[in-house]
Amino acid sequence: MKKFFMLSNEEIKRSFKLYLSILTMLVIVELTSVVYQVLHYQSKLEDLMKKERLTEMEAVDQLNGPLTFGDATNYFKYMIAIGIMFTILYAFQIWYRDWYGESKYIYRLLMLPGKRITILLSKLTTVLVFVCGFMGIQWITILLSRRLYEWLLPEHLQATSKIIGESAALNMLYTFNVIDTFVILALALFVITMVFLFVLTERSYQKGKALLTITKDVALLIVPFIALRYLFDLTSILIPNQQVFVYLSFILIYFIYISWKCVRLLNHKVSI
Amino acid sequence: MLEVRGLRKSYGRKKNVLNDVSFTVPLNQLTCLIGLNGEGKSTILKAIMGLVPVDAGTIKVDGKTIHDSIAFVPDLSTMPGYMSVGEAIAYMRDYYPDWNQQVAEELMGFFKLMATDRIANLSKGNKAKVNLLIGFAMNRPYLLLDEPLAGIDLFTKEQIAWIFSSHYMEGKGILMTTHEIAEVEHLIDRVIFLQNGTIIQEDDSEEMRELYGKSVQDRMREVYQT
Amino acid sequence: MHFDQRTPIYLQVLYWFKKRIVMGEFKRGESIPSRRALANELKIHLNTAQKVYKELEDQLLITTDRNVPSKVTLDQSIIDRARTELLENAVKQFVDSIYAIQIPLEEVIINFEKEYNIRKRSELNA
Repeated sequence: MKKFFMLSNEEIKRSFKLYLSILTMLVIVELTSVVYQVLHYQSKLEDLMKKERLTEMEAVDQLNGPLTFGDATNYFKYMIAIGIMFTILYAFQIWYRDWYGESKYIYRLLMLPGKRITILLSKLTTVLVFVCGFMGIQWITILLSRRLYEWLLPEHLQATSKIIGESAALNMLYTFNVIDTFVILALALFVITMVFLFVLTERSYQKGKALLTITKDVALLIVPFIALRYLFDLTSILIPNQQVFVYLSFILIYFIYISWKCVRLLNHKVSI
Repeated sequence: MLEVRGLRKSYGRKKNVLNDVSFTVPLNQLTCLIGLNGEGKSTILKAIMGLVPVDAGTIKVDGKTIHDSIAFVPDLSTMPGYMSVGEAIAYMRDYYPDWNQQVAEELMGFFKLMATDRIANLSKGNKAKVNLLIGFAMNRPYLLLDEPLAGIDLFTKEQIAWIFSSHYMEGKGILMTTHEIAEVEHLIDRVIFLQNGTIIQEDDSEEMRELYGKSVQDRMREVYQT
Repeated sequence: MHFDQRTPIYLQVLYWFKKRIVMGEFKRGESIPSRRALANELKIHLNTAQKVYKELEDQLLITTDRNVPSKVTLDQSIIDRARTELLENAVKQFVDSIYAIQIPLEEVIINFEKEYNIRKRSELNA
């Protein structure tokens, strides 16, 4: 346990500065984008009113209605996508920098007393902690953006809605729902573990065999999934709720499989 | 006694990187693993430490499979560059209950290393000294050294060679790979000759001198020229 | 100390030690450096130093009591014996190196005396 905390602490410390800078950048870009969207909308209105001599209401009509909060935060989905991309890159880099850095820290890690699974868990935890941080900061940014939106835009130009707004994408990712947060974390856990599996496989076998093994593991995910899909489409064996249960069980089993594989590779097959 | 038995490793196209390698490293002696470039010397040390998987073989210390009796000093830096020497030592102390802080500090003084020096900024010789310092302060009876004198300036070499005739060696069994035989000839007790992943000869160096009037380098020529 | 890599190290160190005892650099009854100190000074392995000390003990040139540094023997006859041994070894080496050239003994002795005296004189002048 002590080893786990020490390693996790070390990993987080290592990347904290970079993490903070990227986070800050994303927040600034997002807030700026809100301001931009609002001002842009208002300037479009003014343009229309001047050029075509319309009243404000007519101009608003022309632009398909007032500026919803979802519109104002339109660019957020790109920022989130970038965040996801960084996270996945980091999941790769958190291993590869120990192998390919100017010092081979991986030697040190593998020789530490105690179980090697602790190394895996500490890296996993670090990435998840950063994901949580990102979600939290994103949530705060959305609240701040709402304040900005309400402050900058005259009330009659706003569209009332839930605090999040109608953007479907955003709705998907952020709700008040605590359960949804856990779902996102579970998804992140799954994806990160997959990335770890790819890394550890690549580090354990030679190029050809590594590629083959990775392909096999991916196929083990996709093929049964598609097969289940077909089965349910063609036959209607189970009701939708039960179908979902089957899918989830499969994902869970698969997750256990890739986790076990990661540990096994790290313990017996990985090479410096 | 550290006993290595039956190490075998094949590597895809490279068959028999290690071919049934067996030898012992006695306590209180300096055993030298000799081989021409790329023969598998480094691989053996890494295999003993579990850094590299093997297809077969056992490593035993006094009959038991314990790995916490062996410390490894590789020929490259393994501590993150952003750490300072002091931080690296603190790191080791945190993870290793048998860490000998006194030895670490003594050697740091002997090697004239400052606790605030960042590892990334150290010269190659100083990085080697840090590795060595860590290896000895780990306080384990068996020490594996991978090319401790490679590419290092004369004065650093002398400092390192001094360690090999100091009290820090007491109660330790050393297994070392090196090309710099001349520098350590008079310190070596046993020599193991490796070729193509196979052990072709084992000798006691003083015996060789006494019975045949041959130095380790002479023996090397003999063994590798056939 | 520079070692010949083709003769056992411990013998070379043993010779070095005996020479110093015979020369009186390590006096009768005086303490000698510890094994560790010897290993350190001559840059040899600790167990080589131990081997040397064991030989010296076996040949009765030093005495070791527990917890006390080893001392050179007080027995002059033993030191004399070592002295004779060194002489015999040196002579043997000399004869080995010169015998094959087949120079008559008298010429060898004349040349030997000459060289010995030159050396002695230069030492007195220094």
